[in-house]
Amino acid sequence: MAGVAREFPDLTGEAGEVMTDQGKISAVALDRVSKRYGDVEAVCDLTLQAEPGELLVLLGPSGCGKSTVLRLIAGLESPSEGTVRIGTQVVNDVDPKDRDVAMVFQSYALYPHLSVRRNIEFPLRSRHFPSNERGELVLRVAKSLQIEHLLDRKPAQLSGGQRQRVALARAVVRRPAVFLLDEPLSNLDAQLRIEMRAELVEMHARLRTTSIYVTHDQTEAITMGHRIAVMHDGRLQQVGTPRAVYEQPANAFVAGFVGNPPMNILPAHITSGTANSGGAAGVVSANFLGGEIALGAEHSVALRGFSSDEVLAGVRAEHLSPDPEGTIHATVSLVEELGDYQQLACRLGTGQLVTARARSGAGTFATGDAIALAVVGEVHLFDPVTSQRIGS
Amino acid sequence: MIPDRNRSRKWREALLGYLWVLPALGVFAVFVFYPLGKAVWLGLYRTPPFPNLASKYVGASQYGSVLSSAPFLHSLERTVLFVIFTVPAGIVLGIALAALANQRLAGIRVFRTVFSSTVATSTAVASVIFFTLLDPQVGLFSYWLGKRGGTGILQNPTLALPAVSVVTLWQNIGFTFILMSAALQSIPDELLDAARIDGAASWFRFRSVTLPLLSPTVFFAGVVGIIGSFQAFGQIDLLTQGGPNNHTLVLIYYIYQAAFTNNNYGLAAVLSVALFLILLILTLGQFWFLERRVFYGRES
Repeated sequence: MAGVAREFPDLTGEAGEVMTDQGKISAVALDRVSKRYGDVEAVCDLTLQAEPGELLVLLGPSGCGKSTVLRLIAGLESPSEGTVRIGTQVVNDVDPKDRDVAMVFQSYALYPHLSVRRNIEFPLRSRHFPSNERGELVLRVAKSLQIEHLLDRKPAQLSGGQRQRVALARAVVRRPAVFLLDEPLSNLDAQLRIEMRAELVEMHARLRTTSIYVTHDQTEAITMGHRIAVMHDGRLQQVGTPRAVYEQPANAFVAGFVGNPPMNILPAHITSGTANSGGAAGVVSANFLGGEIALGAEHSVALRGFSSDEVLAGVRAEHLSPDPEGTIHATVSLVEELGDYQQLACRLGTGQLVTARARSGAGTFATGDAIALAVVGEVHLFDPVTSQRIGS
Repeated sequence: MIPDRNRSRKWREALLGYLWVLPALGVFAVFVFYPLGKAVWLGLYRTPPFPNLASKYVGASQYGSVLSSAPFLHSLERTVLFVIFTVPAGIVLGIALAALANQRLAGIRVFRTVFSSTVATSTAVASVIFFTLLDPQVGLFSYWLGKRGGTGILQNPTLALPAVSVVTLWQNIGFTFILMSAALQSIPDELLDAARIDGAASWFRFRSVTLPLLSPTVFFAGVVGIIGSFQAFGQIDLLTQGGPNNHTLVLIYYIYQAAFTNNNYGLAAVLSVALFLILLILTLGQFWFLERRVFYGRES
């Protein structure tokens, strides 16, 4: 924090806050937080914590309440129930300006009448930093984001990517304890988005500021987040590392939402291997996608407590491949050439569409080909009533 | 052959264009350009002091003598004072009320309706209401101010112009309020949210974000307000008729008196041309000077 006139009590080691050479890094904790607008419940009983220095991604489709969560943390909304804590302090009744957070908005929210310099300077000005210190800080942050040549322009004279950088500069210039980013890349074109993604991750690694990043783009979530919190209809569905969320989705929604392409989830009928269906214990087989497949032994234990034979089975595209001996018959309706593999959209006899992958060497396929598919990896089972995962 | 055909088509298109403009041009010609030309022309003739005598051509000298005369300068001073009393205060009040009514409070719509209600009041109605309130015998204001039975406010040379200004302010406030409310609501919430998070206290937020983004509307309200105040006639006629002792004799009322009380069309014409030129210069000046200080959000 050289050059910045901020004084903190020494909180090193105190729960929820860590002092670094960059300043204070705070944890953010929501405890049983709900937010209602009249009859609409935007956020429902949410308990979630971002550890100090973590980059936590809130992922979900639009309208799932993720932006509301960010606004609750920022103090732009107050919770109907529950507590919001930043560091060691409950901030439910603390004004946004006193929460020591900075936010980057989807629209960037740059002040259109101010130059880039004045935009970046705004948080310092409103906190009465002396002018020589302001100039120094603005220049330093502008250099680190490579926008020092734009300082005298107005936002309208900048490209989308440049505006994005100015918004980031405005957020980081004061070194807040927490960064809140509300879909900051969604207005950029695809190429720039990938570049900015890398830059954001690098910036986070450098500053180590606790960051909460809201997005509806699961690729962004998987590539950037230390952990991902998946939300749907105002409720937290699952929180975990990108790998855990991808490999062990907690329910059918998460399975369908995380991963590109989405997991193939279709009804299956357990034909043997459980108490209900008879057959040899330990070998579970199911009728899935019109063919008979064998499930792993781990499902035998999981299904033991499950009363019905009807389940939802999910298979990722990379675990469904063309195989002449496969039991699932389909017609190729679309082929995507993706470098070392082909991604096939296949129409089943029942009319449903599934996505499969053919590795190079497995032959090449064309639209209209009749093929047989085999499950070559893990099958995830979900309760068709609750959509929850069956088993671990 | 082809260039000729092109040229004739261009001609036909141009002709058709002028044909479409013709009706509007006709209306403007009859009601604006002809009266303007006629006024300039009338200003060249001195109206005789007695009726039934022919007007005398005096050329531009009448313009010189009238525009340097004491009555004209007095009336110009009254007009400028009236504009100063009504326009800036009207804009400040309009912004203040709009900012208040922009709060998210239960029942705020009632206030919005009340604040904008004067827009539905005619000058005549506003004048009659205030005439009654300010009446020295039965007026509520005179009673409150302990001036019952004495000289009325409208009869007081010092207070008459401020009183007429207050009536004008009251009547215009609804329009200014609506303008400012619309402008306030067009400011994106995200900008104000960003300012809140950036640490701006409410006054700093208002001064550095809201006000600059309101500037095009403030500019518009300023131009319209100044023109409106220069042309304010109804309230003067109904409340003071230019009195007491010419203290509310603004330019437009001076013109009215010259033309329709004293039948001095020459004088009235000179004054009218002067008013036209003053407004023209003021408006052009405002556009020239203020436009470079106003933010329109499209400076690319």
